[in-house]
Amino acid sequence: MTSMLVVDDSNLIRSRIARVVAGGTLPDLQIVALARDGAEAMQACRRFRPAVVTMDLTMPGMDGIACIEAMVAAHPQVLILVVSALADKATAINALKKGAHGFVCKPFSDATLVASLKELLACGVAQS
Amino acid sequence: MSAAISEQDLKVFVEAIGNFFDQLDGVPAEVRAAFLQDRQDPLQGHDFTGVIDVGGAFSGQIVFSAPRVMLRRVLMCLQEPRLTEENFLDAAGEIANIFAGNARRHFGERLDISVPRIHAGGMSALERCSGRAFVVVIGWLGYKACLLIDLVRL
Repeated sequence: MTSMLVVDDSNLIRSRIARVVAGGTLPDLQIVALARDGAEAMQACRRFRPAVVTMDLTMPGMDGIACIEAMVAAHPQVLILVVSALADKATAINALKKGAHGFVCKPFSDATLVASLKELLACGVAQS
Repeated sequence: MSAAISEQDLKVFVEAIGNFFDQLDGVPAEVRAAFLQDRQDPLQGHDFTGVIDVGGAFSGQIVFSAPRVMLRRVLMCLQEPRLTEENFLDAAGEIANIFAGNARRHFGERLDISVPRIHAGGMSALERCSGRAFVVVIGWLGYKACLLIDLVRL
């Protein structure tokens, strides 16, 4: 099983991502923790060492970009999929430069999220 | 020196609204935009409101307000089983965040947006807007919501 952390300040989005992952199309993924901001995400990352993270960008306190930088510095192997409403190219490029591996723009369909997570997992296999 | 946004700038919000509801259940939203000051009737907010404060190269706010019944339907489309007050508020804030965030496709990263402020009922955010704001009335499945766009370029 591949462990996964969901980071988003919206309870609805956290729950939705968890439902999609538990829906059966991603049998190798298991959610180990949910976090509502960057600080909670870093705590969860230290505790559970997730292999995969979905990361919102606009969050109170430590935002997604700062969190990606901190997470990649602490755990360079972590695979991060950004899930954000910020639709400009510069933000996506910046997130990828900081260490994210993919970007899904909100609103997203279940199929888009599943496809992006599968690509992320394939990317992880390629890296290892 | 500041400049109000134009009707051309509004298109990105109209597209974001259309995309959101299309993604939700495939039923298109009806969207009608007007200068706030052109409306004959006072702008009515709804049961739940999400407010995004805007900074960077812009100032102002983007406000989404919707009735409980509409947000209930949104949550059902998202297959969210907990139809609670907390989740109605969360939905209002997240929808405001999506519309504002998607607008950066047009305005770029210099449209700096805050995390949503959310509140039940009340019109305080809408009452504070400038006279140059646009209001977009959103119709979807017979429900009505509104998006207030009060933005100026600095």
